[in-house]
Amino acid sequence: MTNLLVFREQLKKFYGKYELYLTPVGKFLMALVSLSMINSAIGYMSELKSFTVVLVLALMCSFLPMNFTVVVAAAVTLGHLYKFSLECAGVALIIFLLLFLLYFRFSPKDTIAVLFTPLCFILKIPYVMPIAMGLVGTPFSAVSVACGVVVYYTISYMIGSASVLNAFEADGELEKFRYVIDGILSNKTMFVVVVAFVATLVVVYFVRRLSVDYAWTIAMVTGGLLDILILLMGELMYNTKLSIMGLIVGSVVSVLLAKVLEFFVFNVDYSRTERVQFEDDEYYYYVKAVPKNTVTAPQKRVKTIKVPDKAVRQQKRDRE
Amino acid sequence: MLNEERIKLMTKMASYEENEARRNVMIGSYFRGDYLGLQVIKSIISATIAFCMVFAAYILYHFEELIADIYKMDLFEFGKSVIVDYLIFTAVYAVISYGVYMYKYASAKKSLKKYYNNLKKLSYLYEKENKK
Repeated sequence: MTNLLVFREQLKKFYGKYELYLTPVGKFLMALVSLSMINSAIGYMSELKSFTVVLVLALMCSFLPMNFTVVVAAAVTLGHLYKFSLECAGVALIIFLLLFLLYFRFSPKDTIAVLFTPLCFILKIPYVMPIAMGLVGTPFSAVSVACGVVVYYTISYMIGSASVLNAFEADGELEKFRYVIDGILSNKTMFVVVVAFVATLVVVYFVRRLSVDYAWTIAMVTGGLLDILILLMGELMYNTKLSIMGLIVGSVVSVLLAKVLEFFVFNVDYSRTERVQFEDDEYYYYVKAVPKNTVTAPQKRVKTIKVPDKAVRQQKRDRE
Repeated sequence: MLNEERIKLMTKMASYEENEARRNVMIGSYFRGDYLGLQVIKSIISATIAFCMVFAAYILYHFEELIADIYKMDLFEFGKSVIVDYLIFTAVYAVISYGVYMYKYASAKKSLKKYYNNLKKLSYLYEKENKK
């Protein structure tokens, strides 16, 4: 444990020292990974798949605000869908624009969750999103995560029904459009997952704010279990074709990932908790102060010992 | 060591620190009416665009039925219902955003004022402690 804490301190120090360079590099890598994942999942437009384009876009993202990455990811997704089928691109454009126009005006900080949620779905660990956002976000992050779920299921539905869409006649644009809208609106899995994720996020948020020891760990485990429970109930009620093994393994991995997040964000030592009480003119304070786990990172120092020339000469003379 | 007075201050400041300082400074530079007016106008514009998009999607979805019924249906009545829907949607969205931004403005102003005072106090407390 001490080694891990030392590692964390060193990491913090390193970040503090090179923050100016590390932040753009981090944004660049994030954009690069996101765009590559989008390309491998729905890479219909070959122009967008070329490494140069991805590299240039990622470089742009590294110097612009985080929200720009989301806009770029949405644009690339639309480009691929346009090549795939115009109707799908139209539906996706409507959904993206509705999200940007109606919701992201209120909470621009959460926008990134909309990008991360589909990416976590591709990595098969979507369950980490509601837990992580409940731990570090606010209850309103639920809307962002829900939007991410809608985006993922919409696009995966479109890609999944490629063969059906191709079977429509050349002038069947309206039927295709109708087929896509019907498919999205009758996608029960999507609604069950939205409900499960929103409930999980809100519960995780409220449990981790409780003033009990190990609130964060309790929140994660409760959230994970609640998520599994709602998804299983959804499976029983609506036959959502969810892989139960995947759900359980994914949830366990998600809780472990959340534990890693906790290590970096909220690492406290409950054994040294102090409770103090005092008052001022307006309030009584019942303060529970939990100290953070900190260690000072040992510093390596290279010390060069310089022997004065005079001593060297003296030694030589002695040997002779 | 725990310092009572410092904890009191930091407890008060915690509510502010959850929000972003820079954004609050930006909000604080507006007069209340100006800020709310501007945000509500922006909301109405985005609600209008959003409604147009949803309406266009609706028309496309029901295109064939609409074309078949176009001579039978009461176009005036249809237009009226669309406009009523639009007004309701925009009004609800505008009211929600008015509420959201009113809250944002009030909390930004309040916390900015408190925060600056508390910062001064806190730095004074640290100074005092260092001198000891």
